[in-house]
Amino acid sequence: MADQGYWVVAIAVLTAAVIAPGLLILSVLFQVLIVKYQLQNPFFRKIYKGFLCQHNLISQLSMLEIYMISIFVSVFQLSDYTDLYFGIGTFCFTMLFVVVIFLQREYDIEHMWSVLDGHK
Amino acid sequence: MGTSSTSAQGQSLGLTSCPTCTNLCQTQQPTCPRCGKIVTSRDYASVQKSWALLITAAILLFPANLYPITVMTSQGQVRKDTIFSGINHLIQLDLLPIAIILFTASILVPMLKIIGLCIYLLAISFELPISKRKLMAGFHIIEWIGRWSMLDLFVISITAALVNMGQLFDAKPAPAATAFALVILLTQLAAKVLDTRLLWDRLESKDDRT
Repeated sequence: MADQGYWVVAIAVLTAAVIAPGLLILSVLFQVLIVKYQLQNPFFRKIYKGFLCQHNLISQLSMLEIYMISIFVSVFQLSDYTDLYFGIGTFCFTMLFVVVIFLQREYDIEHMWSVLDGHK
Repeated sequence: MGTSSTSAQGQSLGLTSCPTCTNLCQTQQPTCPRCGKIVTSRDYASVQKSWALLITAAILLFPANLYPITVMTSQGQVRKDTIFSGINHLIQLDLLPIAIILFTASILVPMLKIIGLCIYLLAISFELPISKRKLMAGFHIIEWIGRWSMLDLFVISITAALVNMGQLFDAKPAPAATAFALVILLTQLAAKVLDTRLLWDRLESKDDRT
């Protein structure tokens, strides 16, 4: 898409479907690791704080569920013209989608903040 | 400010919630003790910012709907589809459920969002007598449903990636895609930038709590 000059659209799609979910997973992973091992270290506490501040923005930007629906929509649209086969990528994406849904269900930002408060 | 002691607002008690981490802070504190970000009790400029973004989005809505959003090449024939004609085409192909999804996501939602935000901002600016609860519920719906407009862009990008066979069969985005992306971005920003606490101040006289 970026080649054809629609870089605004390209950036929007890339952010919502690839970068934001990736950052979300990485950020939660680091948060959990820091809570488990390095919460006394002031440097890591600072990083942890930064992650928590950005969390709302990142979770708002990641739109995997919408991407999922759009895959269905475009598959239905195209099935008239062509044959489509699902590869391993479809399976992985579906699993990613399910896991991220559960991640967001279990994740509680208020609890993460209170962990930071409790170790002063 | 409050009508009784139970409905006193945080501002009159010298308390406010941190905009970043929702920690309860005192209004005279310059920064939040938990996350270290600046604490502001009310952001009065947010109404103006939100209006600016909203008006820009409303203007961009016209090119987004009038210009073609996809260019399909099928067996040598070039078809340019606007959002509306694309949905029309889907109905003719007997894909009614898909057409309904696309219609909701790419026509209904952006328009309702702009109209809804307009009502919301007017209510704050001119103290319209609309129930605060209804307004707040409407605002949350607007914030949540706005993301679904991205569906159309995802569909375009997936189709453009999957279908690429040169002259024979090809799908490409067209100018309206950029305008549409900007409409979504600007309306989401307008909703995000707005300080909803202003509503609770301005309409305090028409308290509808029973």
